[in-house]
Amino acid sequence: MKKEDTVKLISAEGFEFVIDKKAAMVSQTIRNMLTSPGSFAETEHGEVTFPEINTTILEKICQYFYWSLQYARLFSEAIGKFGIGR
Amino acid sequence: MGGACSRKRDQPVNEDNLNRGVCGRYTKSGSSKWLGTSISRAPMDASQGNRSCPSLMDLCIYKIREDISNHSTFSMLPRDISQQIFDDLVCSQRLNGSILEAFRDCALQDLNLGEYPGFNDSWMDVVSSQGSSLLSVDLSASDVTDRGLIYLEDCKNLQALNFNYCDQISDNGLPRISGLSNLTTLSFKRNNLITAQGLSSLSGLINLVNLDLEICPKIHGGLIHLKGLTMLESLNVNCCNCINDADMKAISGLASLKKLQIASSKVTDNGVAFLRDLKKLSLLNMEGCPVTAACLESLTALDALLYLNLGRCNLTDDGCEKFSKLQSLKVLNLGFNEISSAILVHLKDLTNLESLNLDSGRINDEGMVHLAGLFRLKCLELSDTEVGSSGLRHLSGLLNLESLNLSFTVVTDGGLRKLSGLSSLKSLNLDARQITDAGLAALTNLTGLTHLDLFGARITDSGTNYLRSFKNLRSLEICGGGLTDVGVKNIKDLTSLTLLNLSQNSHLTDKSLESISGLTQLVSLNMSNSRVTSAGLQHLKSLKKLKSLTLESCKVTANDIRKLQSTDLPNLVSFRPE
Repeated sequence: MKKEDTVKLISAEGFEFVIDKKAAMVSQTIRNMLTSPGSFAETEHGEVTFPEINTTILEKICQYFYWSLQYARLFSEAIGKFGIGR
Repeated sequence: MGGACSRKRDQPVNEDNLNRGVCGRYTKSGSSKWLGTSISRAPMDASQGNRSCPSLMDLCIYKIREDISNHSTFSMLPRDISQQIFDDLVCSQRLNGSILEAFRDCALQDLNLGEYPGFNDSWMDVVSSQGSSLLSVDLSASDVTDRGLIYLEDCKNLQALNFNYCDQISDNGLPRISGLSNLTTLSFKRNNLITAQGLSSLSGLINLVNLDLEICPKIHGGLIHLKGLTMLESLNVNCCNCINDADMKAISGLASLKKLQIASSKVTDNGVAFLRDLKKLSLLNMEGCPVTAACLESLTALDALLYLNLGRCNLTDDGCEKFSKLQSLKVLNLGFNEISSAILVHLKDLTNLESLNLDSGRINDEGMVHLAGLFRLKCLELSDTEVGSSGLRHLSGLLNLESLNLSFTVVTDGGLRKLSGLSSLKSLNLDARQITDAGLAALTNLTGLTHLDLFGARITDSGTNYLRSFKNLRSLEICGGGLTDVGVKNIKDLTSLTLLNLSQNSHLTDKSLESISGLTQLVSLNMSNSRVTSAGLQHLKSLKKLKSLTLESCKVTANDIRKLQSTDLPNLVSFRPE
């Protein structure tokens, strides 16, 4: 993955998840942060910190992003159910 | 991002279908949900393979629904999330008394439990634990009793209460809600127990805006208690056949009233006279009341009047010249009266009219010329009149017309040519024996048509060729007996169809079912009285959205259909034979 195509999502514990920008843009909030013409620090460094989201949850969210991208192209029968397990 | 953001509340819509007729649903049974009313009650289902990707929230709620027995409480969750979980459990009918305990003290705002099976008074404790967060409760068609209402006393911020079809609520329960001064909407449809005495408990509900007491036969004399409800905008006492002129006097000072429905009551012209000071009145439904055209005199002062229903009032032509003064009217229902074409001249200046119902009047071609200037007309009902092709030509300039009903008139094929310029037409009813294929040929450029009713018209296979131009058709009925499997082939590309009725075409065989197997949007299908057999049912497997299937008098048994329902058609809720 080229650096320009990625963003870094940082959890409450400081874990860093480097994912494709396209995946992160599934979230409208992140999309706004990264594409707004304003002066968000996030736009400059390509990093978003989530001090209130813990690591396990942020990991699951990143998995959801990729699942959602695949879903847009195929039906859920083709890619399988999204599992939220214990 | 979810969490504690402000939650957008669905407005509890109380939109009675006022054009449909006087009294709405009577039934209390769960079957009223089958065709999916306007209320959006789709349970979230991640496995359905919808076009739009389920959100992460949807997926989590689906997972919680599956694991619901693992959760003893949701009170730690932000309210908007626990509300979504609650709504989902109600839609999927997984909620019961013990699961409900998990929602204690969740600060929920809206509890929509209308027609929910299994509800009883013991649930009211959890309901009441929502405390001052609770804004609306729908307990329609439930067994809630007067004692259950005690639990609502603590929910001081309640705005909306729905007790429609609650057979156990009586005058004894109403004092329990008399202190809920934030109530704006209150509904007690079809209650045989509430009397004028009970209505006295409502006199302190000064913020009440909407009050629905439809089909309450014992409330006469009680409207006097509503005198202090100065914010009241909508009052429905349809089918309260005890309501009389004195009750109209009682409400004559409710200056905020915008909508008043007194259909099938005993109000006469004298009672209507009391309404002349209701300057904000925009809707008045007097269907089936013993009034005459003399009451129009009282209505001419009402500048805001937009909707007037005088159907089934045994009106005659006498006094109908007064209609010309009701210039503000947008919707006028004069169906099922003893009026003749002579009154049409008095309607010609009502240029704001958008909807006119003359069903079953003694209207003929004479006088149709007076409708030619009603350019805003969108909906015209001429069913069971003597209107013919000559009268139709006066409609050809009504370019805003969207809905036209010519069933059981004497219109002929030749007359239909006059309609070919009405490109806004969406709904057309031509259920009349004398209409044939030739008439259909004249209409092919009405490509905007969504509803076409040719029930008794004599359409044959050659006529179905003309149907191909109606690419937006959602509803089609052809039951004249002239179709064969060859003609049904012309229907197979009308893929927007949601309702198809080809009953009483006795030549249709299973081959027709094969032709329509591609109509995957179908919700309702009727092929009764045809030669369809159970062998043909396999062609219906693709119709996943089908909710209603009627195959009476065919070689098909109820068991055959039940098998189809269990293996392939999960949405099928209503079928015949049963």
